[in-house]
Amino acid sequence: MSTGTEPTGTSPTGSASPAKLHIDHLGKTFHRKGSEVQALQGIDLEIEAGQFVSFVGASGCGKSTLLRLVDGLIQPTSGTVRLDGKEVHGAGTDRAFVFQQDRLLPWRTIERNVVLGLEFQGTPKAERLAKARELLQLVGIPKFATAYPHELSGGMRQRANIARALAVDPDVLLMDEPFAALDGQTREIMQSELVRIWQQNQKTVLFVTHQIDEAVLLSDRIIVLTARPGRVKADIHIDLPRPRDLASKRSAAFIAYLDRIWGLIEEEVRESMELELSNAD
Amino acid sequence: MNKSRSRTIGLLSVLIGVGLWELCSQLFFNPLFLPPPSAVWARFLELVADGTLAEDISVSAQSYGLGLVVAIVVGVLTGVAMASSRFIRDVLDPWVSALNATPTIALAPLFILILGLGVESKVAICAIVMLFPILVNTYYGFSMTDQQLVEAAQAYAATPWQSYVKIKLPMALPSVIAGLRLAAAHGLVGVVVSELFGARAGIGLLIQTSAETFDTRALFVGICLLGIVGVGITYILIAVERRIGRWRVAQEESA
Repeated sequence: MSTGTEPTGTSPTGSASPAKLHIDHLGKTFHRKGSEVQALQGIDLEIEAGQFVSFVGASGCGKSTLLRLVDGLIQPTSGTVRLDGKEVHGAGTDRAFVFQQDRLLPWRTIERNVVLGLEFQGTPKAERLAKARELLQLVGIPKFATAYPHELSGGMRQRANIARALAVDPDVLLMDEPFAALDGQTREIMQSELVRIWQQNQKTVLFVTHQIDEAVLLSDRIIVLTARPGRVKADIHIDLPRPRDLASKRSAAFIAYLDRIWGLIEEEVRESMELELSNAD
Repeated sequence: MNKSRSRTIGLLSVLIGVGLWELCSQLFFNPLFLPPPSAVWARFLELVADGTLAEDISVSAQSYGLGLVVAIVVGVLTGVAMASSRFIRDVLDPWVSALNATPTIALAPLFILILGLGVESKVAICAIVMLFPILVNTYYGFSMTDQQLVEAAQAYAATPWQSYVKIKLPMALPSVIAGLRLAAAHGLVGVVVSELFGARAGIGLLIQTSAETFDTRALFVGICLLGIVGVGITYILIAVERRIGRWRVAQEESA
């Protein structure tokens, strides 16, 4: 696994910035039933290695689309995504995607699910198993190694899903509303677990969520997107000390961030709701 | 507990049934039309001793086995092709739907006319009756694959071959096995019918000739043998199905 940074001198912009991820003029238009839907337009971002960045915005603003573009699951209509200076063209092992639904293979045990990515890479079996044990330990479910997904609760399955993503030792972790399907209490536990794991691994995390408080609690930086087509509306650095816990959620600074971000999103949400209503006619 | 109870009841039912059969044919029926199980068993031992039964079984098993291999190869390949290509599906779908709805056993006389009374026509008849359950279930299994799991594999940089073998195949396998189970039962009908029209040896021929010579004891040997083989094959395939599709059943139960 290459962890060294590629020389950025080869980039067309020629900047010598240390950013891990460069997103330049990124746009995506979908063609559905003869009509065009512009999901994203002119996204410019630089994300540093090890940063925890959340994306928030009204539903349908293209947050998930942005994550899929960075993962290479879909191709951009315009612009580029560069990771360590190299343009992204397809899925790669330097990135891993955590879907909202756990998407574990129901016929495989948890440990055999966790090693799926390593299996695709051709990692030897003994090494794969050792990695699975290590990661199940890290995400706190070592006892469920030989259980099947249907025997686990939603929260446990999502832990396994995160372990599967970490198993390929990616530089960048892409998380698309990973906790949205969980109940409130499980979600809070998973949030603090994620921060613990992130601090141990120093991965770059791109995190999509609907919950503003979740974004503020977890992130170094929050990108607010406009309603469709999604553009960067605001880029906010969260200067709250870590570790953050439930008590920090009641601090004046935390609430000030919530109010500010909600203020930015509110009009976009209204706009996107009106858009949906007019489309429904 | 419950399972072993069911098994005991089933076994008792069979034993009592055979006992009643023995009693009825001894007391009420003409043993010429309904020979008692004891007489059938005696005839079975005779046929084993003179070697004709072994010959019949091996000839029938050969037609059945070859037919099954042809049906699996053609059925699985065609089913997979139809599931992977919209064009192939559009071309083949009307034919497959029509032939699947037709009792293909009706094609038996035609095959004998074309291929003669040798082993070729028998293999062809077995193959055609076993083909469609396998083909249709393979197609169904491979076209019902969960796109979310396929996309997850893609996100982990799986090659198309890897996503086929590690995602689509395991997902489709229970359906393919279910098709195989149906086919296995159809194949027994196929092999008997193919031999009714004339053969050198075989279980179908045994049944045919014993009826013509009023040797009903030998006729029952043939029928019982077919029944036992049918039950045996079904049991084996159900066991395979359970083993491979355990996750599916468990998933449905927990849902």
